Amino acid sequence: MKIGYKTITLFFILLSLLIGCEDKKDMTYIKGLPEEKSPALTGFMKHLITGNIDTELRNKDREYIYASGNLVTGSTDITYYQLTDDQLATFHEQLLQSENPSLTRNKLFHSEDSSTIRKPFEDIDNYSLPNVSVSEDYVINIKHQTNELTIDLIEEMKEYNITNESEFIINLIGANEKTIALEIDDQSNDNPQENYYLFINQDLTEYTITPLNEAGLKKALNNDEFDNYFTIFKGTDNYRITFNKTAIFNTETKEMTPVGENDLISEDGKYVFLNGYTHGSEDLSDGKHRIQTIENYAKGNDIYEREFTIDFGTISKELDFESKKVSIGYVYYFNKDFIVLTLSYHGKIIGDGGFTNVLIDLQDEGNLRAYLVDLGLM
Amino acid sequence: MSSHHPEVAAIINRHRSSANSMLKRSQSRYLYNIFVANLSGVFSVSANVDGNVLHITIDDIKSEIDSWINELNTFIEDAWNRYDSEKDESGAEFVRLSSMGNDILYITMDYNNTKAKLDEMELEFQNTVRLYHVPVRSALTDIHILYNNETGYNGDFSGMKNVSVYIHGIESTSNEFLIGATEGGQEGDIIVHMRRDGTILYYVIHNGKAVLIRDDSKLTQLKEEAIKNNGRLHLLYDTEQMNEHRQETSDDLARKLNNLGLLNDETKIDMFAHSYGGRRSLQFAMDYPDHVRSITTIGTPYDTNMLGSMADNVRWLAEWIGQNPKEASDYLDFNLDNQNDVDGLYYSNAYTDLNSEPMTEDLHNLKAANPEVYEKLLEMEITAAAGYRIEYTYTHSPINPQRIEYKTNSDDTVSVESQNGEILGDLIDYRPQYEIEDGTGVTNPSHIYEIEDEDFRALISEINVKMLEEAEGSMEK
Repeated sequence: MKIGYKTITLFFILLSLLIGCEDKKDMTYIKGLPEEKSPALTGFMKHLITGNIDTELRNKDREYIYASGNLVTGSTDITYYQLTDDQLATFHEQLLQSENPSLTRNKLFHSEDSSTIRKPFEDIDNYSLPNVSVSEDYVINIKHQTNELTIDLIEEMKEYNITNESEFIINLIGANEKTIALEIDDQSNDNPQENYYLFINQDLTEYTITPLNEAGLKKALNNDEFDNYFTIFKGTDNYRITFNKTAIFNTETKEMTPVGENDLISEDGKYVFLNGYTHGSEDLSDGKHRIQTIENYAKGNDIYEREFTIDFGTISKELDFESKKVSIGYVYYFNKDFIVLTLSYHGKIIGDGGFTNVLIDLQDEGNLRAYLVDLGLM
Repeated sequence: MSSHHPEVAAIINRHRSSANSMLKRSQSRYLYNIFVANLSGVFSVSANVDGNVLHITIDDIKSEIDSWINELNTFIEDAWNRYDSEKDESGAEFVRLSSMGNDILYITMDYNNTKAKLDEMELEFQNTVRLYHVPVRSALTDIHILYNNETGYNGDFSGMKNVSVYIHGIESTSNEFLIGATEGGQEGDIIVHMRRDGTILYYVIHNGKAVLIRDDSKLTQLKEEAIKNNGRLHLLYDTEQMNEHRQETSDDLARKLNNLGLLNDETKIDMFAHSYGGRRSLQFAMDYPDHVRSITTIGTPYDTNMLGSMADNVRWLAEWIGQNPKEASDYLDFNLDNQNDVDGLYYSNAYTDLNSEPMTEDLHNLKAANPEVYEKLLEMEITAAAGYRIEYTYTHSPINPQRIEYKTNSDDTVSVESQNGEILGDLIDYRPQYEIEDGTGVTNPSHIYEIEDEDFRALISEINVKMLEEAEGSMEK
């Protein structure tokens, strides 16, 4: 009888532990936008305003300088604009105060304030930025205070079967104290992996043009002169990511690691969201997710920076949606400690059951939070 | 008219003056008849209502009658408050007040009946307005289109010659079309996503992805480039009310396209639609046949639909499973069968439409009344695709049972026959059928996975390219 009592007690202790474990939630779901400012939220607000096409070149003293992205052939120059923390705070504040953040965001995008932010500044020299112009026949001229360089792209790219008929979209995608990098998007090819990249040293005395597909990167890494351009790539000291985010390379060993087709690289190029990339109509799965540094990813080890669980069912319940079935689910934005999802749900039987963006804040590992708000980010 | 106590008579005399003033002001014969029919036991009205200008605000009149009721009730309450039984030894005052109370009770009943009749009148007005304001609004839209064409109006996207419009079905949004539009478009095409909450998102297709445009100057630049390259504008359109009737959608879409500068002789529209969106597209094509080049649908119930009928007939059940069968715009169809009501206020919506009218009904009318428009519909390229699932069954052989694969005859919501628009005969040019891999049955129908289906997305792409090539071919000729 005594044994039976002990067994029952032990059983209940184990059961309560088990229930305790089951009950453990690693994510708190909150309706609305985060109210407190944080570096991760600031990063997202910057992305919200500037998007994927503009390139952040400087981030200093609460001021950010961007190269405005070109999206059409025939753009004749590279323009720059500046964004400040104060502007970001105002943007955040207006969204916070709004009853319909999606509509407010939309209005802000198409407001005079937005045009003012993006107004190109003229005094390029004061910011030590390169003055880049492109002629109709794709001769690029780059100048700064002390030097000038002219490159005939058609001539220089003959080895890549580029002809006078070719059309490009040219964008500045990096400029630091050592290197200037331009992306040359060949419009005859829809595959962004087949873009070309022009690397120029800051003295404007040397340059190279290369694709960064697997073969192109391999060839570039085998050329020691290419080492001079490593700092222009995003990443950590020894591990860098290509601009098209398809491969990580070790700057010491020159070893290349392809990024898996389902893995997503963060905006700052330092982290990988495993299985965070979805293709076409594929949807992101809920459940447990992991984030690694690109270094650990390249090394293939099991060290994770963050592990978290997201539950689409709970989100649906929190927002009183009609079903748990997700019709559209993907990562809209991913950077260190901050992930934004786009989730659209099916209706219970037909139609749509609800739409939301989910802002996942991973800054405090002990207090992971998911903010549920429709920002209209599709 | 019965006689009243003098004090009460004095009060209702004021009410009669007030009633006559209201009639004089409104000049409403209808209101006059209500007063005569319901207040003749209280007082008679004598105002002349033969004027030409009708001005009537039901709420104000009801509020005035409320004040009458209030006045009478206050009067009798005060009288009772003043009543002192010790001074009324004979009880005569008690009898008088009781009689007056009864008098007031009957009068207020008549007043309340009048208010109820006014509610009916208001409802009738609303229903009439609903019924007749639609054709008036349609006519105004047509005048607007004509005016814009005559004056060379420039909308935000004037100059774009190729437009794809994506229209969703009931209980839905156009969100899911974003993938199909992106894949079905070409580099430099512009996507405009008009959400129900008023948000308008602008994208450009760049390297196979939809890139969100964040400022107007860039949008202008992209639009000019798209016009130069004979590119396409893809309009993902959320109806204002998700379950609105197809006629409402057609009118609203026409207004929006007109405002964007896209309803003109130069611009040709290719429509892509899911489910009830197909009916909405066909309605638009019937209304604006010169502007529509092609229609491509999947999952569209061209016949009446059993699930739609159930939702319209057993609305509480539909609401219980998350549908909104009463959700409607101000549109009211002339066909009495294509109507339902909420507390006497009539409406027509997608559910009443699916319950009452196969698409042949309007088309037959069109064919008879406007054969040249029907001819234009025949010339349009119309593809009615159907989704189905694959299911399995087993042979009964105990020795060697074999799995047999078969196609379901519906997408769990709409029959394949209806989706293929068999009843529309030679109006439909192509009737492809696609296996929808997701979905398991009525509670998780494959119908809801059709927009994201790979085959349908490929069809969008194919039609977009084909229509563009044909247009370019005819321009060269």
